[in-house]
Amino acid sequence: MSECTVFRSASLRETYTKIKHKSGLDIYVFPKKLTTTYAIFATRYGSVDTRFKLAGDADFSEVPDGVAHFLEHKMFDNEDGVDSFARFSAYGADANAYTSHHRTAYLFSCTENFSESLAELLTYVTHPYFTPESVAKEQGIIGQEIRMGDDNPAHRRYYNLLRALFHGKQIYTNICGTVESIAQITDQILYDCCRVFYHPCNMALVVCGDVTVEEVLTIADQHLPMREPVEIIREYPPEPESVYMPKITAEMSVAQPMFSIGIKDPCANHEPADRLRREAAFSILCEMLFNKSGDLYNTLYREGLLLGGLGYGYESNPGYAYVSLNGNSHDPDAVLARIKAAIADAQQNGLSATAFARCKRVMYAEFVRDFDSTADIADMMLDFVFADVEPLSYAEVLDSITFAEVEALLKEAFCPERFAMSVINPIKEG
Amino acid sequence: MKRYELANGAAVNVIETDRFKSSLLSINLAVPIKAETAALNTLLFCVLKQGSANYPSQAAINTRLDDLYAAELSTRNYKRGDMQILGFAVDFLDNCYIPDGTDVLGGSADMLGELLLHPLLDESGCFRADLVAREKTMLCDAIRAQINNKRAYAQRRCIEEMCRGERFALPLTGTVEEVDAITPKMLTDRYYALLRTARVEFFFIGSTPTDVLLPRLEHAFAAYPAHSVAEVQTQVVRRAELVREITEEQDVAQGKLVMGFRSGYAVADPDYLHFMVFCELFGGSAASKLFLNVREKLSLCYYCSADMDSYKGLMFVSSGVAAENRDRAYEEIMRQLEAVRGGDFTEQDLSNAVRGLQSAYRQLGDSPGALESYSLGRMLFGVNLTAEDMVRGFGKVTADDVIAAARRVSLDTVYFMRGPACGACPDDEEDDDE
Repeated sequence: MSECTVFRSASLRETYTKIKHKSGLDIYVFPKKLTTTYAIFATRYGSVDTRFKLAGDADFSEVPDGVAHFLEHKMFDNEDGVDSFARFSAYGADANAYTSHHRTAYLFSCTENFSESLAELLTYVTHPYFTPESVAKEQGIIGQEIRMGDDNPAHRRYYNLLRALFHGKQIYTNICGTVESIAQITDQILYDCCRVFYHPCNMALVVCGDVTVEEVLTIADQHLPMREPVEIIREYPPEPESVYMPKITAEMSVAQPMFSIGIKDPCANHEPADRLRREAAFSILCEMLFNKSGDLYNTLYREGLLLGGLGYGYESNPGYAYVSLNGNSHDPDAVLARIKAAIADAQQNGLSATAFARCKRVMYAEFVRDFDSTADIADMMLDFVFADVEPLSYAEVLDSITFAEVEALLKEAFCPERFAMSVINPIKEG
Repeated sequence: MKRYELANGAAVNVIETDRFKSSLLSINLAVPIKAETAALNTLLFCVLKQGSANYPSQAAINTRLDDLYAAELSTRNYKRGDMQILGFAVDFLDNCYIPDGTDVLGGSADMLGELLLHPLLDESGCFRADLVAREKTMLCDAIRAQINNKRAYAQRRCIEEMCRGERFALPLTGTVEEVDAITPKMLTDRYYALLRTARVEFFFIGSTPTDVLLPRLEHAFAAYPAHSVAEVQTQVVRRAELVREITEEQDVAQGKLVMGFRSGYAVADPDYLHFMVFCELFGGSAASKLFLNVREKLSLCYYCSADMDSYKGLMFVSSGVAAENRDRAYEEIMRQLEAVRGGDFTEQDLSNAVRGLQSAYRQLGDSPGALESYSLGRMLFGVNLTAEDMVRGFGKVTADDVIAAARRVSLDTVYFMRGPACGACPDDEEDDDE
């Protein structure tokens, strides 16, 4: 039997139900009175998972880079020759999929035929069908996807930052792989990876919209295969605390240098609750240091060192985490020096308690706002549940972060040797 | 949607809804795109958001917005046909989520009024020279940075070439030379002229009742001057005369192909929905002709899709292909167009396209931004169809309507951006630099 638990937040005025389905899948149903219903079915399997086995297997399997993403493309093929995009289209649903470092996700949004669409989602993602011909055909398409990324300076800047910050090859390798690595992919490799990672107990389904638990459960009972639980063993090389190299540059056809500054956070292997707390504290701290109300941003902009905005965020993953700061500047080295100086100054002279209160309020308001779209809600739910924490509690976690905690984090986390920078420079004439 | 008028004549469009935890308030100024004012308008809004009389810096403005529970301010500057739409919008949390009773609606409305009507001026009544100089530098850098996004740049170049001589071809940012030539005096004169001549449309989407909202807007915008508005007609070229081909070289690994078509339809045409269904069936989704053939069957590309500019009557097909496959992609795209023209599609293809569009228009009501953008655009073009009317209308489009629409579109300009050619092979380039 499936087991249901209801979660509620009085302040957010939201409720959802978590179902431990008998197939082993965790299902989350988040009712929302909007026209669009959105469903996302995802596996904890991303580009970093290249060395793994099931408990009981004798040896580890090692697969080429880009298999998770390749699988995402090929899951839409079906044995009867009709691709799942066409089926969704006939229901009037809009389907899509994506792959990240740690996740592959399949999703759709619809305004009618929800049950049919959900049935299709659960069916095609659990019924792989690959042939040597279909694999060969996809190599051409993904090859062009890789080339498209090669022409995108923000994309190159991002991967170069990962290259500078991290030693682990799985972290900095392109999620799509390379033209060479995807040439090694065969239908058998796809089947093997599917067997390991596309197992209900390694997956989650989130549905958000004007739907009931009963509707979702009826479809899940009919379409989810029952399988024996498995244990997946992944092997990642341990990530050292140090950065791999402090600066990495590339030349592309851009008008001005584009930079991305990373600050590695080596304390990423905590318990889920501690990681969530750390993420909340980092979000508030980054807002205090880098936001548009603050001195640092406004000085850099006024002096013309920053061309436009400064993007910032904290990214936390199993095994690694970092802060990143992105922008355009004629002098990225000067920007880096100023950022380091501002942080050193704050470490020495302390932060402002008023700014702390204001930034906490900003983070709270941004969290509340995420509950205005079924897609945003479902995506956010998935982020939290894959991090093994309860989503609605985030408002309270944010609220419970103290000024002292953030000041301590500032002193501990931002040491100079954890900085790295990726710069895309314009091509030199001649 | 209900429409009200402020004492100064500005229109306020209100969509009252309690679906969302946040509300959207915007002020939109519509003026014709003109070579002599486009860059001034753009720079003006860059300068306005640097500070106002009571919030004299970006830091002061942003701190105030943060205190309004992270009210999010955005600047508008885009084309709707031959019109330039300028303005500010602010998105803020609903009162019931504000624990300390801060009046975020009033504060947000006041902030929009501040930015637009109480600018930061020097003793002579002009915009401050230092701010103007800095924002000119920033804008010039932004113009140069357009090359960074190759796909968007290719699309922009296609429009410039295709609509040359039409207002629509003018870049809203102007050129680096035009921006360089702007003085604080010119900008100040333009500011007052813009307020006097622009059509003004407010939008509010949220749960606040109008008896609370309207007095707050009257108060915030009391200083808005009297204005008289000239109607703007968008020039729609219904048919391309002959096909122009342009190839340019950039440092790219993948060629970017953009094919610009005249759709043959204007958004106010009674049969405009026929074209929309055709465009969706041709290249609007992963079940479309272009996706299934150029990508899935020939595996020439990762993306190949058709989209439209409804207000200007244009359709674009874009694809990223290896330079050596440019001709194959081009031929396949034209072959698929011929197929639709010949009626070579199924009832299922038609019904997929109709359902896709119906779903998209039903979803409008779930996004305040999308709802506002749709409502403002159709209002400016005198189209009185609600999203529900559109959903019903799509359902009436027949296969013959789609065939007729396919026959009406005409290819105008083929733009191709390719990587550096090898030295040995002289190219068939037809460079058309300005």
